[in-house]
Amino acid sequence: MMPLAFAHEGAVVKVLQVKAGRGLARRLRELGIFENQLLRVVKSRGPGPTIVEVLCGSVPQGRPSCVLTSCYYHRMGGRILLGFGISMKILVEEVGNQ
Amino acid sequence: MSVVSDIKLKRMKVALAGIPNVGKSLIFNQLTGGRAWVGNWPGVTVEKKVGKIRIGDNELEVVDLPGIYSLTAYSVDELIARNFIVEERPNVVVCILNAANFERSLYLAISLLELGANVVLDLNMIDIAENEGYEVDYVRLQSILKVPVVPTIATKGYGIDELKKAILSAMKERRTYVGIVDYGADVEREIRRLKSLLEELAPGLCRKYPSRWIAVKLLEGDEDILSKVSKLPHGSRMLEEVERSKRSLRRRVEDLESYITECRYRKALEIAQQVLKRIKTPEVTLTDLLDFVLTHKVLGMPIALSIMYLLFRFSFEVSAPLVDTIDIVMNHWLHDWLLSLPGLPESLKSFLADGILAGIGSVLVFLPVIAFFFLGFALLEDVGYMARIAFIVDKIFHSFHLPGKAAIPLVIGFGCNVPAVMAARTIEDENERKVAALIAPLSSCNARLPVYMVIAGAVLRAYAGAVILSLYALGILLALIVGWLFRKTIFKGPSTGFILELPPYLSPKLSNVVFKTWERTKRFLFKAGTVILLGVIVVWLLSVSGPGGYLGPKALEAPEVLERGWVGVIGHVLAWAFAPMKWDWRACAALFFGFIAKETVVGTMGILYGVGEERVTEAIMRSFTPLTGYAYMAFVLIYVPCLATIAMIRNELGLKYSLLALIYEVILAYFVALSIVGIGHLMGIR
Amino acid sequence: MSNEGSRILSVAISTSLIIGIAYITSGLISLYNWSVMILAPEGMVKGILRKYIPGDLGMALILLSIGLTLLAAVYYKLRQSITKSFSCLTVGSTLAIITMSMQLLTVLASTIDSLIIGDTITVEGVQLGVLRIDSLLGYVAILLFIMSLRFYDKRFRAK
Repeated sequence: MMPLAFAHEGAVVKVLQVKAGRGLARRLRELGIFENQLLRVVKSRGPGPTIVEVLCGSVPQGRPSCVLTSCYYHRMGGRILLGFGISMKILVEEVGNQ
Repeated sequence: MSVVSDIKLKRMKVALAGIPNVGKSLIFNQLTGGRAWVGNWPGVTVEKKVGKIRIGDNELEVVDLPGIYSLTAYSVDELIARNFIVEERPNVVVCILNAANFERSLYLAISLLELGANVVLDLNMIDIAENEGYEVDYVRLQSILKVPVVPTIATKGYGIDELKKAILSAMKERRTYVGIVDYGADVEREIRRLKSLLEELAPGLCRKYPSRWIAVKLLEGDEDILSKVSKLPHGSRMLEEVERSKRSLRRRVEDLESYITECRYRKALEIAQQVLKRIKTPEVTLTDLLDFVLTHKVLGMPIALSIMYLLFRFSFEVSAPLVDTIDIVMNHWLHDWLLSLPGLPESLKSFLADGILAGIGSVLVFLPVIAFFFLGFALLEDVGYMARIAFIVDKIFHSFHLPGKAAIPLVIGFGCNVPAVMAARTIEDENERKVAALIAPLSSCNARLPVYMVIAGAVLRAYAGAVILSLYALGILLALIVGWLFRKTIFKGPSTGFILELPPYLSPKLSNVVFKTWERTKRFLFKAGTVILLGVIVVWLLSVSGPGGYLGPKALEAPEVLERGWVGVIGHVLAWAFAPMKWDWRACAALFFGFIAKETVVGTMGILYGVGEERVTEAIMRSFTPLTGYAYMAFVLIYVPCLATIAMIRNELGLKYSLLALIYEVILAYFVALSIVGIGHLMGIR
Repeated sequence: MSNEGSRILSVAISTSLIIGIAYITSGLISLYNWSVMILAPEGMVKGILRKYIPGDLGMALILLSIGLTLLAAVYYKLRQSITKSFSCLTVGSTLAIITMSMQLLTVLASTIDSLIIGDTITVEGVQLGVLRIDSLLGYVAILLFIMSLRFYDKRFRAK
């Protein structure tokens, strides 16, 4: 378990916990970042701000963005830039790498 | 169609909703033909745009809602959108979906449907989705959501007519789908129970909002709805019932609030799965390619600085012909023509020529520079680059406890501080937003450059370029330091950071860029223009009159007379206050007028030294040493940007903060100028 | 990858290496000329090719940035990352072309400006502007840009 800010560029991480206040947590949820969701770290100024892509569900006919444990994930919508502060509040674990 | 229904349609309202970066303003412009009234939403400084659509013989009013992701009560923008839909009851809400950011747009559409709005969906950017290798089956989407869906490509004007038709037919047939999300048997049971209670205990509220929606919001703990319910006669009983529901659910659902949003989200994902079709293997997108370099660890920063430098060249060098044309027309032709008019009294002529015309001229001369700056800026914004700057600088800004987003007001500030203060609005955290607005005036705007050029050119000659650059750097450095100090003292709080959805890079849309440039430039012209014009008139009045009464327009030509005017009095008082810096009274008086607008500093010096702007250089060489000249420029950089900026801070943050800005800037400016002189003396520089 | 695509890329990369070095060199010269101007304002030290590479901090910054980006394209090609190499190539050449256009636009603006305020326009002045190093290298960068477009068609647009 580590803050998102420390994740490597190109890593696929699973969100374990969002330690943000209500408003912030809600904004993140609206963008698809909540517990158990998968994110791909597109850019990281480790440790620093990050740019992530939210990966969602295994959609065989969807837009595969990466393959993880023989399951296709597609990336959802645009990329999200998370400032340093927020990247420190999202706890993740690395589950794969591209 | 009958005459009666025609008249009815005319009073009908359409609201435009959509997530950020969905092309909403473009669609608004295409629906309305670009004509819009811009005002503020009541009580808040969020811009409200209203226009008219003509469909056949019908005219409908269109209201552009703020760009939002959902309809919670957490942000001002969302509350505005929600209250508008509820209070004003627009006949149709057009929800614009971004086909290339489908799930998130869908989430908003679902929230709107739950609120009971009569929704027409506009599926925009289908071309970009296709480029990314997939397609949205809009017929299927239509049957799932039970509302009309119109595919469009706003950048090409494709589908706009169909959208108008769909709006018109939706006027006649209202479709709602409040029960779109299924929250699972347990929660649904409680929703039903609360719903029937609400209909019984709060019939008034249920007439405004769908009762199911209120029930869901109560379970979610929505602050706005909770406070509305608590004010009702049976409010406390209702809230007790909500608590009971929550208690009974606690055994099954851990965190009700996140559970409910997740249900909604899963619904959006589920629908997306059903309607998204892959049509080809995705190409490597342009955005992927560009972002690799533009947000690169090593290359990102130098490229960002290079782009800023190009923006400066564009705004100063390319606009030069226009600047000179305006200068010649206003300050020479019209000025001389006015003075040569026969039959007017001398004092009126002088007032018109040296007061009013000089005032208008000093604003207009800056107009091309500012318009070009905003044009370049709008281009960068439209392409999608500005958001990347926030990423590049975030790490540096973070160590000063500022969010990376605060860089954007500072960049706009190079153009003009007035819109810079306004640009701080996009920062989520309140404390961070206030600090960003308060430090924005420290970035050196276009109007300060002529002051540097004249003084640095006169006393520092060959070093002028480097010295001017050092002043820009000083401004940014001070902005960061002051920001850090504010965050440590008055505006404490954890650095929450920021979330920004990065838009894909798009080729800029000319009409959009021109429109944005025009809006910002217009705002500069009116906001700054009126204040500066007033200021110049005040300068004239203070120059031609003094403690001894009216001196007449000859004061403007004769410095000895001028010294007896109010200007002289002010100058001498200030010169006493600035004694350690050894600035003479004329330079000090110019500072006083620079308080109104920096543009007037050089002009005032010209008048006070009695030489006119052309030969002001010689006069400055006589009265400044390199050291006192540099201190003077630093003072000009830091102390109060201009009256218009202070007025804008008052607008955005209130009187208290505008006074704070005023005071901290003057103190900081004095301190910095004093240190420059002090350190210079220690090092033996004169 | 098609044969043609890889051929285009290797030509582009070798060009990029040469132009990149040219950019870095002229950036450094501009920096040198600038510091000479600052440290010896009386013109005791002459500087290098001052007419075509004026000492200008901003210009030096741009020249160095473009040069770095183009050399990064070579670096990523050597590390076999075609996509990354291509990104650098595209961004570097685009930035070079924008810089060149801005210089030409400035020359145009100052010519018009001279007309308005009644200054004389010298052929030499215009010539120096059009042949200043940032525009000069920009003309060559157009070639690079075309190559990168063609490579994009071959490599990434292939169905």
